[in-house]
Amino acid sequence: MAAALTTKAILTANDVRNGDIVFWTADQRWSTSIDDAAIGYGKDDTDQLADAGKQAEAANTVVGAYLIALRPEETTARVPVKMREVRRLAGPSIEFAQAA
Amino acid sequence: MWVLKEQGARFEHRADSSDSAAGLTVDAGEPCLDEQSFANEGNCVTLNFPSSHDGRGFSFAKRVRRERGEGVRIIATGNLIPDQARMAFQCGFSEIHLSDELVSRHGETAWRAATTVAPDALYTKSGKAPSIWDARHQHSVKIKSLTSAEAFEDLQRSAKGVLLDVRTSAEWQFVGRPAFERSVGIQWQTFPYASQNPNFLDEVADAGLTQETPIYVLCRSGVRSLAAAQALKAAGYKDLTNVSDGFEGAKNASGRRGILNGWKAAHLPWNQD
Amino acid sequence: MYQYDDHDQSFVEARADEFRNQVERRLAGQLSEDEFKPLRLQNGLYLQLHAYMLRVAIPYGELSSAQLRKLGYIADTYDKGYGHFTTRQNIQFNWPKLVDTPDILDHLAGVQMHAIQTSGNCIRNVTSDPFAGVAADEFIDPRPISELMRQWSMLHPEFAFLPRKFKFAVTGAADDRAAIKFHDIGIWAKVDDAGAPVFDVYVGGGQGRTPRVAKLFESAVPLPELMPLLDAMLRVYNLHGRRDNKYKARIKILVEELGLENYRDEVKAEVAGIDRAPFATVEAEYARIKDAFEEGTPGMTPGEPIDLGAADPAFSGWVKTNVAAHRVPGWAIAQISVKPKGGIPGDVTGEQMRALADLADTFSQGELRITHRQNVVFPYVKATDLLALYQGLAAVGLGEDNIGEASDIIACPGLDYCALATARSIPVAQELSSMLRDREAKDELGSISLNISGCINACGHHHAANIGILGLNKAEKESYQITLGGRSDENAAVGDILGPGFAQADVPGAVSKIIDTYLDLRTSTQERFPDTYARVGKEPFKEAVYVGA
Repeated sequence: MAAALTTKAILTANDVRNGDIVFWTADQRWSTSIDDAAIGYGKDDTDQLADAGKQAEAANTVVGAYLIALRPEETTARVPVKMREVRRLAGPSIEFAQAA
Repeated sequence: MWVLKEQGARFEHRADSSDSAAGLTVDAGEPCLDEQSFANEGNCVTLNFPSSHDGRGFSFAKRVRRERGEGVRIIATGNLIPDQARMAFQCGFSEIHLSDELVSRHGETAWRAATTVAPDALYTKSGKAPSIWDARHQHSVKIKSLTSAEAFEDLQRSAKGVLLDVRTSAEWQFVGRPAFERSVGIQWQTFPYASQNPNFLDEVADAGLTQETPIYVLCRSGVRSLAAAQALKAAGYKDLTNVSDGFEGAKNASGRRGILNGWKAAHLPWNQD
Repeated sequence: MYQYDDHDQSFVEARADEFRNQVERRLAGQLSEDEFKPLRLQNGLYLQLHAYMLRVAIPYGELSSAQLRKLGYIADTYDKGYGHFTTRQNIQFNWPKLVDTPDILDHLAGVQMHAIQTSGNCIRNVTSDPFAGVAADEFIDPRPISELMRQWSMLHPEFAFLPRKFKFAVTGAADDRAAIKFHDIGIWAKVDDAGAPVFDVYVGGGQGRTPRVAKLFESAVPLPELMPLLDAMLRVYNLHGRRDNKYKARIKILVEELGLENYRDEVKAEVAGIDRAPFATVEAEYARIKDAFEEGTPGMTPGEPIDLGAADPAFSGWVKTNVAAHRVPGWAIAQISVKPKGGIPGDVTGEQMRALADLADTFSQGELRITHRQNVVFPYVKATDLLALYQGLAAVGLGEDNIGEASDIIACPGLDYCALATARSIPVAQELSSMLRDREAKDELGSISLNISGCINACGHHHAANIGILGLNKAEKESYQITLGGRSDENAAVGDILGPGFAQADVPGAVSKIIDTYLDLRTSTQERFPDTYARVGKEPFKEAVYVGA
């Protein structure tokens, strides 16, 4: 469930069928690229994003929708405030399995 | 309000919902139920499930059933999902009362299937068999198991034995069916996916099979037929044999059926519609 | 190993069908995510940080070569070519799709495997001694009772929605290799004077944010009494365990809040009234399972002990650390380290799975075990085959000779994969492994356990380690807290927090100073780390790490 954020945020979730991380875009669809993510500025925007997340969850297209708070100082860059979100977006920081 | 009782046939809509608060109503959150409260409230207990995640009601019902015997009505209300219906009956509930919303969202089929589809390998009857091992003792050991070749030999020798093919009509049509005089096709599940045939037992009776008829149950690879044989056994049929390798048999190393074992691989007579 | 009969087989197939139906209902919107979540969890399917994750059960860690090959196939076909052995003897895949999961479960059912109850608030996969059935110090094989408990707990209609997860561990040997005192219920199987199995039952152990060593509930419970007792213990927990706060929902908290005596009284009252009908077949079923294991155990003709020391030094080094005593003379238990220098603890590729399966066919009668320390065991190796086995392992990069040493690190997936993690574990394990591997070569460190968890839930068992590392999030930076003196054996203890946490870059230095301090203070090379620690206390270590810096 997407909790409201009042500063600068994007909406993310996982695709219900394949688990991919997805982002809500300005043209009202889900994209696997964060570059497509619609940035909400201020409470009205982020409330709208949160609503879009709730609706998509109810429609069973995605699961675990929530808002990612972005660093406000970078006005166009999509850089999360929280370490967890930075790591989630970056993917595993290690090689897969044993580099045998 | 809807009322679900064990066996999916007993699933009905009732206009009047006053019954669901009959007798003593206990929220599963309340930890104890003493003798005193029963004495005052007669022979009915309603347990409310605040959420489908909260399983206290199952242990609660188990205790009430044990302490109050078979005579007491134990009703589940609140937020259960179809997948929990079996658990509820196994733990001693006699009825589940469902809101219209729960029934319409999950669908009548899912609720009906909740008590009939689940194979006995997974779930057995109320309370008596809470584990794989008890289910094994209740069911499997008493149903004979023969390979298709052995079963065919038996059938040819016997004057009354009937081959009961419980696969789907699609399988009969596209994969073929055994060519044997005394064979009957009655679907255990219907195509495309695993919805249980609710009229299975009726259709078996309508086909003239009695509780004394030696019945050899056949499916694709011996799994559905075992479930069907167990259902027949529960309904009083006495002479049951599961054809363990079925019509097509198990998958071979490359995932193909019809090669390793089964009716076809044993070169027993078959034909296609 | 245990062989499925028709009933077990139809059970796992039916369960796979059931899950296929549940996934269809989920995608059709009939089941909401809130309703579906416990169902998918009880089939091992999580939603993790990046994707779904599927945890497959390896009951009591026992695996056939055919099963391991199938896991390799699943890794290559449905995942990114690897899997991860967990700290509860299971394997998990990090990238499956929800829509593929029913097919994966079908593949598993085809080799007598499943993912049932590897997650969720239910009775989890039973864990046991990875040397079960072959250990030289064994009183009784713990696998038959583990399997009986698996069958009792699986899809138990009453215990599928418990307040919180519930973990059993069973051992039957003098040395506890199953960490039974860190489980919700731990069972120590023994034999009485007449040779009949009896069970010491421990309750209320666990790790997480409130680590507890389990307390003895009752000793020498005979077999017919054990299952009714466990049923009653679970029923009291299901009715009275807290559901208002998930951090206080485990049985350890109930036992603590009620007091062990009151909890015992409640359970005794429940046992007194319990319906015994469902347990009438316990002894017959135990005997059937025991036979099923014996049928699946290879014949082992005792052989002469052989001298393994004379061969090349790499091999004798491996024998010293990785080979354990077998109950049959002339046979050996070979442990295979999945902890290469700088590697990822417990990760194996599909290719390595197939290589291990082939080696197990040649050298271990087709059977393997997975340990809670995330390694692999070959239980049936002829002593005369050890050299050839070692050469085969070394050829596929699995010849590391560090079992039980400090570089044999346990690590959870941490913030590289896990949705709950607060910091990464794997990169820390990799750095420490490189540093410690070099020191082991020159310092004769001996056996030290070093475990890393990426959050307070402690899947990396840091509380139970001689040196434990806990990754936390301090003001959006990873910070690592060190604990000392924990142990998971029969003298189980929870480690003490050493002091303030470290940045990731400073962890190897701090661990190195802890090791230096131990080397300085130990009375001989025979004194193990936790014994030195118990003798000298925390202060010298604290001083070395924080003051000497």
